[in-house]
Amino acid sequence: MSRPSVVVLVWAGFLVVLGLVLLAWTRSPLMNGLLFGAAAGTVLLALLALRSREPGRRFVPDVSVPTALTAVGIGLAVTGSAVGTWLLLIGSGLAVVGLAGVVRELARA
Amino acid sequence: MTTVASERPVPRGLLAWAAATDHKRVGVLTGATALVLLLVNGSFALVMRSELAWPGTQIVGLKTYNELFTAHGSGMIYLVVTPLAFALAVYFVPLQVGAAEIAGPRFALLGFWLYVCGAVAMYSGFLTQEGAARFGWTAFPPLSDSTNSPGIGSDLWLLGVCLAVGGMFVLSGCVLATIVRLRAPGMTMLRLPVFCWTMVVTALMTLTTFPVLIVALTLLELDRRGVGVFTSAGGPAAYQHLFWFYGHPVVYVMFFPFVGAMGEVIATFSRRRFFGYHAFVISLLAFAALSMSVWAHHMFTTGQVTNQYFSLTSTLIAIPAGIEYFDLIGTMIGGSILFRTPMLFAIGFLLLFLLGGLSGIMVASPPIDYHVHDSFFVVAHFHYTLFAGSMFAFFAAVYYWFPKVTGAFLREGLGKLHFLFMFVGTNLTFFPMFLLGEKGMPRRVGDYRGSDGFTGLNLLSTIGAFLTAFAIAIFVCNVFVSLWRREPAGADPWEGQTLEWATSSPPPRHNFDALPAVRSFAPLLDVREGKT
Amino acid sequence: MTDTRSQFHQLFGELYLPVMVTVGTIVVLVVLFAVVRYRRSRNREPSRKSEAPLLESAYALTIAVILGVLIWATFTAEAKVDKVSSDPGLRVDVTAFKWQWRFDYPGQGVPPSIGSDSHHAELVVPVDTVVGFRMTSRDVIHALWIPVARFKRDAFPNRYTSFDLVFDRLGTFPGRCAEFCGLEHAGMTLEVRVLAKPAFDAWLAARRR
Repeated sequence: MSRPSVVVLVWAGFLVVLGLVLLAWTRSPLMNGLLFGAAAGTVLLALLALRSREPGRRFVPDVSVPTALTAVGIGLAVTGSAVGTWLLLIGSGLAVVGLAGVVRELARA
Repeated sequence: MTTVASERPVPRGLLAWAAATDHKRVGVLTGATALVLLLVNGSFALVMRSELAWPGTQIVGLKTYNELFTAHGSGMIYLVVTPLAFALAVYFVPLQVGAAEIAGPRFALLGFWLYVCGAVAMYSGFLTQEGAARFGWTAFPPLSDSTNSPGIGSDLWLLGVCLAVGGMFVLSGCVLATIVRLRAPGMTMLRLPVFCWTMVVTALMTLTTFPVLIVALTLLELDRRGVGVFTSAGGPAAYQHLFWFYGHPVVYVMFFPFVGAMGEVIATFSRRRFFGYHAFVISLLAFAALSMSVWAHHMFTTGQVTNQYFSLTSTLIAIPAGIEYFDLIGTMIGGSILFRTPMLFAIGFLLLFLLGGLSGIMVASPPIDYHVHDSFFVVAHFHYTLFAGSMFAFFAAVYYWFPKVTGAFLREGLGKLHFLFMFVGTNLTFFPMFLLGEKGMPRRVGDYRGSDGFTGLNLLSTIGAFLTAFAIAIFVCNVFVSLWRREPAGADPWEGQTLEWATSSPPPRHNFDALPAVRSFAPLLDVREGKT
Repeated sequence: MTDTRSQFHQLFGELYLPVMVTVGTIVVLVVLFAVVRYRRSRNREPSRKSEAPLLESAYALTIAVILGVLIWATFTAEAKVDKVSSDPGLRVDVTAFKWQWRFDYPGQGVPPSIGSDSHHAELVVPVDTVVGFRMTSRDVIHALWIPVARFKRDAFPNRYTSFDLVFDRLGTFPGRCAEFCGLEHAGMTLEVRVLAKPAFDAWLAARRR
């Protein structure tokens, strides 16, 4: 329990038990799929957590305008899919510009 | 940690806040946005309560009422209480685990802006010709399809929710990664502060269930554009499964973080170590897992689910919930309790959430739910958990951590006044709703008849709502007064027990100049008790 | 013959409510005790004890036992409430649509009762008789809620749902839609009229004419 991956696995175990109990009542693929799917996703998280060494320190600027720009671009593009192509295009453009800025930041770090 | 914290100058200006990668700024931005939206959605509630004070339509028509309750419910859940929980986490988890940074600072910033975009999209429906979404925060098809809810307002709402929920998903990933990867030396998982533990399980639930909602709403949006996803006979029930698979765990996403904060507040103001830490941690994991398996108790009356299983798991939740109460109250017993505002709100939380929890056991029983489901009884139940529970706990956390974030205390006198009005107002608003529901008043109605016999209790509830609003107004004044004429707080004004109190208020850009040794989940208490 | 109203009262009024009130009162008293006894002004040294696994396990077990009783009672009651008779005393078909109700009496040769803007749909039933309902919706999801029977059930489009109700008292009672279904949801009401058996037969005869 003192390692994060173990904690996550314990939780996945709980989900599996609950899923097995549900099997006693129903074989609905949707209901069982949701619970076991969540358990599988949790196991994936545990695997990710296994690489839990301290990451190498990287320089992150105090202010990252490109990141905010990317998010707003995504937001506008998603909204634009209902509002109209013009907003979708503006949003996608902003997101691309933002991402390019983030890449530049990363390259400089 | 060897990072020298305070070497670089802090960037100033609007852009330096709006594009900050410092988790403390992202936390403050998220919290402030959510608080503003709390006022917006709260005023929607006031309009609805005014409309319901008497039979007949006086203030808003049915269409507007339906838009308002949809905006109120979805706003409070997607845009206020969940973000408030993550605002606390983004700010305090890195501090509590002794990290200089949040994991993935850019992702945290991204999450915040996705959330803002989602909020703007959701509300922008009010500006469209056909009006805003009006199918409840649950958006069940076929009511939410393009035939029954035409208009772009509904599309904007669906996409906005996806964005906001996506933003919270990203934030929760940052919080969990911080706990997994950036703990200070000596900070093992079983030395994590109680609040961090509640965030571990919260993040696990978020990461496994929020994507399911995004999928469900995306499918719904495709449906609205003519793809035909939920149009089969089993479609509407399938959507409800997907929705509630997110919709129930999110109830605990909006609850656990605040319970964790209560653990910190109660331990600090009782001047003693949190009681029953290990039982608390285990029960928290079981609690979170159980909460993933109860979703279809929202569907008892559909006649299409295996009620027994979901009734069983829902009822069993009372065991871990009981253990948490045991530990919180156990921390007070044997303590030396100081009744400052945070502690008052914590006690208010304990007393009022109780009603929400106990009525929750009742509605977990299908034959009882057959009567009270979708009635005001359920409205009372979840407002006692979300408002009287989570929001009381949130205010306790604000009064507790405000000095850390700003370096100044909130006014104690105004705080106590805030508590008093909110305690009375909350009960006056929500208790009558239990009785109304049992008498037969359904939820989500903008009107009722004089002959229904609902008038007196509704009027009482409306008066309570205005008292509660007055309490919130006192809080807003308190924030402004306290920032205007500051009563400076030192690094550790409450004799805190966890690492956020081991640095200045507010903390420097990279949080710590030096860290004490971590030998338990209450390292600063160890120092005070001479254990190190 | 199961009366949902009396099942609700046995389960809610005689078991759940008293249990919850008792538990709630105990917790409130313990919190008040802690608040009074352990306030800072009494100047006691705070306890350093931080775990009590035995006490806590006993406590968890107590809750589990209480919940066991509740679950058993719930399952027993639900088995009765959910039971659908193959031979009810009267069959009624319910159709929900925006924003009215329609009640058909199959095999009785009477016209259906359909609500309109000027009058409620009327569900007329005989007292103390098992009424077998078959319900569907013509558009969105609705829910038939009859508070006097302490019962509701959702009506889905393209699906039929069956349930039995027994009405144990004479009179006229309100019913309504409980699942939000759009603009006029608040006005989607109906009236349940429970008649003595001879009066019900007379009502049928009059409707047939």
